[in-house]
Amino acid sequence: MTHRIAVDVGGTFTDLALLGPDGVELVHKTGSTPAEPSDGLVAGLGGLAAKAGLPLAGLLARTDALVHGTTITTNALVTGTGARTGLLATEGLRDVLLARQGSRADQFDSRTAPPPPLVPRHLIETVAGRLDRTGAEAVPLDEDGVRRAARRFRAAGVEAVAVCFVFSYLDGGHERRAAEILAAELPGVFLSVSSRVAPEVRLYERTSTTVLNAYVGPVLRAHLDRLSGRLAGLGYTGRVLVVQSNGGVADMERAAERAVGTLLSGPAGAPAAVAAVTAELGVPDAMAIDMGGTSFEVSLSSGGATGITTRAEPAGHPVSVPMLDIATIGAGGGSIARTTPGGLLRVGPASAGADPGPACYGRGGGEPTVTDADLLLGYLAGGFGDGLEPSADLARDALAGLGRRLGLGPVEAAAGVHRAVNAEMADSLRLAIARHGLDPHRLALVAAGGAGPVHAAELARDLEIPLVVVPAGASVLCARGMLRADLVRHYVHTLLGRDPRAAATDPAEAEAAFARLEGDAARDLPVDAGLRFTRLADVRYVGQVHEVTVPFPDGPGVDAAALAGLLARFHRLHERLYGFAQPEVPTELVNLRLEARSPTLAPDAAVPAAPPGPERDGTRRAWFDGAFREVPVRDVGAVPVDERQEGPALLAGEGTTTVVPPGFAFEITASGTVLLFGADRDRAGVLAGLRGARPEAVR
Amino acid sequence: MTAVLASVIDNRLHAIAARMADAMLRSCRSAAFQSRDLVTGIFDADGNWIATKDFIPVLAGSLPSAYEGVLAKFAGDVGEGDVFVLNDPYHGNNHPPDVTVLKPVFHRGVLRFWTATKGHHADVGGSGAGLGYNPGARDCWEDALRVPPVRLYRRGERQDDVWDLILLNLRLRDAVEGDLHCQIGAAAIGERELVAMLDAFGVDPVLEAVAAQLAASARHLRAEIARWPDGTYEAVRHLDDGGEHHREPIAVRLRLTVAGERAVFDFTGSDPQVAGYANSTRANTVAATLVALFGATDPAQRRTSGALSAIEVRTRPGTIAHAVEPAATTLCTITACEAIVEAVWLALAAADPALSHAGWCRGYAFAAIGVDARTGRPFGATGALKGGSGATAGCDGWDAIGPPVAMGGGREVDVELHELGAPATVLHQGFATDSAGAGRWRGGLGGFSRWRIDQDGVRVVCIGSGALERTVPYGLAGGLAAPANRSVVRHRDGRVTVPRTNSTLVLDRGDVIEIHTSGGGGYGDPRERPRAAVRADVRDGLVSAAAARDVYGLDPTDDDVEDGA
Repeated sequence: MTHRIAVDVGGTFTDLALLGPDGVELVHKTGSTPAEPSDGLVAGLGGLAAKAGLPLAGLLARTDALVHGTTITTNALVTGTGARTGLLATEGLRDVLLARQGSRADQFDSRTAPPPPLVPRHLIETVAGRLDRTGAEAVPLDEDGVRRAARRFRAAGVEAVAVCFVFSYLDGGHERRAAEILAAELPGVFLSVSSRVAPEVRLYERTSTTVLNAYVGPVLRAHLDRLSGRLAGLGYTGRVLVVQSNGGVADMERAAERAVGTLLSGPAGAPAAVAAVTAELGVPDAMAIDMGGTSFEVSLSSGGATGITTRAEPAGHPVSVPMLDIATIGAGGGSIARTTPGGLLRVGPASAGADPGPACYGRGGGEPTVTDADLLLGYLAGGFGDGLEPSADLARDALAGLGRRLGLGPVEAAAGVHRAVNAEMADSLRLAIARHGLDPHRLALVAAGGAGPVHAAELARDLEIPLVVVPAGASVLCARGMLRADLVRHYVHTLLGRDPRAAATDPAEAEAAFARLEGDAARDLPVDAGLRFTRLADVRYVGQVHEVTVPFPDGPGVDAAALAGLLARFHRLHERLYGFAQPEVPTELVNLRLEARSPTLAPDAAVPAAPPGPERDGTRRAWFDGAFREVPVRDVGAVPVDERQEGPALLAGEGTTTVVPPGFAFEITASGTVLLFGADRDRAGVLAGLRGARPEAVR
Repeated sequence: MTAVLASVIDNRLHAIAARMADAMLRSCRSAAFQSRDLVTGIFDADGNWIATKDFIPVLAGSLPSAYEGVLAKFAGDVGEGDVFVLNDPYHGNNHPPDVTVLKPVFHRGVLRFWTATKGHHADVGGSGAGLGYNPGARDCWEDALRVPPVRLYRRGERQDDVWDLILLNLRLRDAVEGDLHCQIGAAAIGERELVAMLDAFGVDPVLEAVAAQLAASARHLRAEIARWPDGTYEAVRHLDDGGEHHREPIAVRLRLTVAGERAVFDFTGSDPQVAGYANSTRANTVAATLVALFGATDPAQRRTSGALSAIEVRTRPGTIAHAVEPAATTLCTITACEAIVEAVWLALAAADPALSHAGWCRGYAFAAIGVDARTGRPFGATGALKGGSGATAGCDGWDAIGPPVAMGGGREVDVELHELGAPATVLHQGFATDSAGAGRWRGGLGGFSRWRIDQDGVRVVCIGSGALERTVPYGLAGGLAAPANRSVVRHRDGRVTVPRTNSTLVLDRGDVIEIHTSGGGGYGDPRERPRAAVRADVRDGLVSAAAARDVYGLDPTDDDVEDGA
């Protein structure tokens, strides 16, 4: 029992990675089977076993953990194919979910309908029973009312019920009792209870989170049931761990119960891979970018941990459980370039997607995309996969039309598209860095996705980020990260609302609360490999509406000095984030947060070198500084390790090209990672600069 | 490559404006700021308005006049590190509660840009009871503390005497002080990012790009107006009243002339200004016209000075649409704005209803202010679900999205945060059956709310309009109007009273206000609404079975209908 397998099932591809006892890593890619995802998964396992030179049964017999990332819940949400869901709410507050706080994202657009609610109004039932703002019972729960609601849910054929009552984060008693009644009345129906799923203040966000959990829960549960059946049939007896939106993993039962926690199960593998790469380089803080066909995603990796948010809104639905803080904009290889009626250039968010895809694919897409521009500029030296041979002529035709509207030739139009999309991505990256209170000069930029390494150097130049890192095997980055994911759970203890007249937080009370949360974690997670805790607090000035999540200073526990250190950090961060601080104004702690990690893998597992690809060395015409020039094309696997070279150059890798513009130098590390930095710097100096004292950052 | 650079700079400027707004949302103090009653903007050194993040667009459209107000007083005396503030409606601001902060941005010693932040403050003095609204105000001194353009910082140095003068006149000084810092901090963030942009691109390319960006914005709006049929169109909409001292409806009269790529909005025929707080400043009238204009044209376009060059707004001093001192003005961003927006949309509908909107709900709110006896902290709160938006050709209105003042850019305070912050309880807050105007496309739903006051002697103002037959949301192209805003107070002692719109009440613990807000107007004949949509509305309790039968003409023997009210 010495192997570990990661399977990342995406919409198009299923990526697999295998880690053997000797630290050797194998990867395999196969097509996904959306109609029955476990088919593609099992087929992929067969392919992986063949690469390992083992029969499938033999591989599974040697495997103790299978880590599974899945887009099944996201897909159900985006396509509106989740469970038929009912909501049980507090009497008088039937429409909290549907009213969306009276807000819409594109406020001037009155010719688009609101997003359809996950629960239609006729499946929202209310019941008497109310807590006041202190958590005391003002109206007892109407248990007969719950039974009546259950009967109506049954008659309507609901598959899942969410329960969310006002102020239940202060006392979940009414919700628990209602859930008991519903469980008895509605056997087999998936129940989602807000005080268990998301016990935090803000009724709208808590309702949305709890409903979302109900909506996708039965879908994930059915998938995991089928999958474990298939695996058992193949003789697998090890653990199945499901990748969570918080970047960690959880066992199947927990994952299904908290299905809302898997909405980022696919992309959530990346941070662990990014952390492994940056740890190897000794770089503490990095922004990871992933530019694929339709979107550009940005996330923070800091000291091996990842940026976490409780304010995400996937597909427009607020989710208040901790998940990776991934900022997304509609900028990818397939993003379509157009001109506005005023004559400005815009790129995205409309995308040609995979079908018809960019004009150069020759599948009928006539509109110019970022990939067409990159191709025409000569940047795409790597393969496209699928045996696709892109047509530069088709790209040129599409860009010529755009160019005419801008008064530019096709190549200049392509350069314009490249520049404009870079600027949009840079704006998104700049905002993400600012929100974390980070200094771009102290960061590395880790680039993934098919288009990420094509654009990364220009983004780094724009933002003055000193180092670009392109990991080997970037196309299966998430699967490789999943091999290394920890069991991670987040715990919260809310201080707000308990006693408004209470004085400043008592260190002993905070310490006791953290001790309780750590006790919970020790019960929930395996402790044999050791538990790592990170303590944080949501801090604000008294009367403020939002909080800053600040890590406690390292130390044995919460005492007066630790609290003072925490508040000093808060004032400094506030100044950096919002342009002001008011140290003379009293502060309050709203939530105490605990992140608990239990490693699933011994920390010394090495990242092996990527296998060398086919030789593609040669030269190619590519557009730099306003003209085409003949630049060398090097295969990443063929470049001597640790040898400094200078751009311009194109580094062909698996499924992508790393563009090295003039003014940049590059080196390849022993594990196949590409490093880019300013040609006026040297690698040791750049890395030393990134390892120095770090400013504190927001998580 | 000017078009490319202009696109890059245009996106960057808007990203900076959005970043400033993001910082404000995350660092603010008051419930009003939390509900996104704020905007940010960027001006160039020539005073062109070049970027904005307009959560509440009626605040954004008056940024240019606030800028002019500062320049009128300080031109030639602007230094690096200065921060200006103003709220006075007769020095360029739209109305007193929306306090404007402006910060000049210097690059290598030369003034290049200005950053602006504006938000609705929890308190601006005067004798108003809630959020600056005083239905009893007869003039601008009873309205609010008047702050002409003054410096909060001079060359980076805090002007303590000015701060003291302002804050001493406020009940909620801590919240206001915090939110002023929030505005100044966001303006400083914008300054930092603009300087970085100038460093990265160079001054001349940036200025060239800004000029091209403004020209593109003008071309974009002109192309939109060119789609409107040429002609002259007239419309009249009313305010219910002007406050406690003027209990008569007041008319906003518009004559819209469309000629090719230009449009002239002539409000000079409007009624005279009144002794009350409902008067609109010229700044607000221009801003409201822009809300209507941008609400009826391409939603993706930029809202800048370039666009302003395509239109002309004519007003006559001394009228409801162009108040002069000493008129009070605090209500103008709500009721007068709505009447102006409706007049524009009705005039446009006369040209072609498919270009326009059916009437949106009118703002109708109860706002309480005081000190929470339980926490000792001051509070300002409102407690009703908002009304719905009007239908358009092809789309139902949006439910509970509030009046066009915000265009859905606001975000209501969460029920739990509301109760934690104020001595009041939301007993009920939901959509009201049959509250929307019927139509082929119906209006968005209005609400029914029951809001309980949990402390004795709380002052509550009832502000807004839309309680008269002539001010309800109108229907278009055969669509029907929506019902009126209305309310009653059920007192703890059993009395039931009907609050007068634009008046102040004093309520005690246990008193409950019941508030009906109107939905939006409908568009097109309700009998042409698809039967499945009517059945779904009945099933969801949004339309009654009776209305489905009588108004929508649904066959009463249709056994698919199940009433879900």
